[in-house]
Amino acid sequence: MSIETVKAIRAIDFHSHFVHGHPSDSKETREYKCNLPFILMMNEVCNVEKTICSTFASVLDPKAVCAENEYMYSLCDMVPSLYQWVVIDPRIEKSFEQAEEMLGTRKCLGIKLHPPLHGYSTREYGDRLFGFADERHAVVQIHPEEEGDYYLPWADKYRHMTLDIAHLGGAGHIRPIVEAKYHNVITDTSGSASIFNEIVEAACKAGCADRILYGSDTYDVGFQRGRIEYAAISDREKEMILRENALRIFPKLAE
Amino acid sequence: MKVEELSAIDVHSHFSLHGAGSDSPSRNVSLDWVREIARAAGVGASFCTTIEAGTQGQGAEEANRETFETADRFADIFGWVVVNPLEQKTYENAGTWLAHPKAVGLKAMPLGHGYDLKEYEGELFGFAGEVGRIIQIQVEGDASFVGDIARRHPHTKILLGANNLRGYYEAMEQATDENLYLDLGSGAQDMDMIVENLVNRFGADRILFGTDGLLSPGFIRGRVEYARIGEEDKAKILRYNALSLFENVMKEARK
Repeated sequence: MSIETVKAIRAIDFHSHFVHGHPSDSKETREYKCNLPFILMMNEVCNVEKTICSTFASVLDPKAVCAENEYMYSLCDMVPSLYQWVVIDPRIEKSFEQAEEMLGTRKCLGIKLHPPLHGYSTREYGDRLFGFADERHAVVQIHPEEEGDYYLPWADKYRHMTLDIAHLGGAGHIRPIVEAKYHNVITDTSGSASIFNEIVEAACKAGCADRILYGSDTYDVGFQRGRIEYAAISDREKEMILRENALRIFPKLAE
Repeated sequence: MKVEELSAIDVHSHFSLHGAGSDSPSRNVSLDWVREIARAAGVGASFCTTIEAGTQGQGAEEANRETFETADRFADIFGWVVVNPLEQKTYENAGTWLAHPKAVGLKAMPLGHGYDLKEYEGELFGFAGEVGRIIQIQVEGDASFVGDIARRHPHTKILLGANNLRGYYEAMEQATDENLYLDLGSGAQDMDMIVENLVNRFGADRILFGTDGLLSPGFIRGRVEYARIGEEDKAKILRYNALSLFENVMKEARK
């Protein structure tokens, strides 16, 4: 496959956020923009067809979770390329109710957890959260508060959930993908740990290519795309990471 | 020629002849791997020092010997001549290595070698000016003071390595003689406006492609290829600025 053919793959961003003027939003700077129009423009430039998001405010501020879930749900109806992770904070009962209602609708694809920023421990709430996901055969994206291995017992216990241990960054991400009894652990390339020169390649060598997903986390969408396009992996693996794995995990994306 | 077809030149890289580095599988700077990932990303030439020169107390003379013996073996490897003002005879030794046909210039590593760049400014930049060679430096923290150094040494070309967020833009603004260049060999390129801001303010002529060895060349290449700048500017950054700045060395290497 030529580089031109790889560039023609319409990528799916599995992990993103945006700001929209909420008081708890991440701050934009001279070097860093993450508002939705900017991200949509970047997606156009970088041939990213669809993006699965939660708002920044919803992961930064537990008090904002419920209102932001509603906002995101409505917004997805208006922005064709946008899909939703519904955010749950296990201390907020209403966020479970929202997830119950939203999961299974056309554009809400999975559950987002952010223990470090919400300020709770997975050790305390893991069974409730992952049990909830398991019952609904849901995909959960978690910003890990520990090495990825920490989540393996839950992945093995709750075989019907798929767990995205976000931000591929080291051996601690690779091991649980390889060792999960039910092949239900995945990771995404979002964030800045995948900028280093061997991690994506090492994960593919370990046989994880079908469980790695392209993501940006709002860092420059182009660098993440280039990281995969020019990785020392096969063209088939590039196709899987940029697009096909997302379509397999979320067939609704193909609708 | 399309930008993605260009053979890029990495003006800031490192390798090791002594293993992969301690962070594998995240980072791997073994010579074989650095060359393999460069090939995968369409990088035709890498300007290197050994990684040990900056991080593990390897003496400048030993580092230079390893670098240029490697450059003699591989067409894609070029060398920076390491100088360390704390070592006796460093300038004398550097003068000898600079005569090597694949020596691209001088490299000062104040952080790795444990000295204050400002304290040795006179002798380091004075020497570079005397021998008429470009000097690559890397600083930790705020780089804005390098703009003043560039102004005080207007006839010396300075390549400020690993463009980072703090003070690089300001350093470029202060370098009124336009003798200050930047390479992109740092993780800060994940910020989605950093390259665009530099090119919009200073033009593309003094910005060069680099990886620091530890970063995926695809990350930086993707960052440039998908930047919201002109195609000609991308080509300059990826290749043509290096060809121009290191014209004599590249010509010599082609013979």
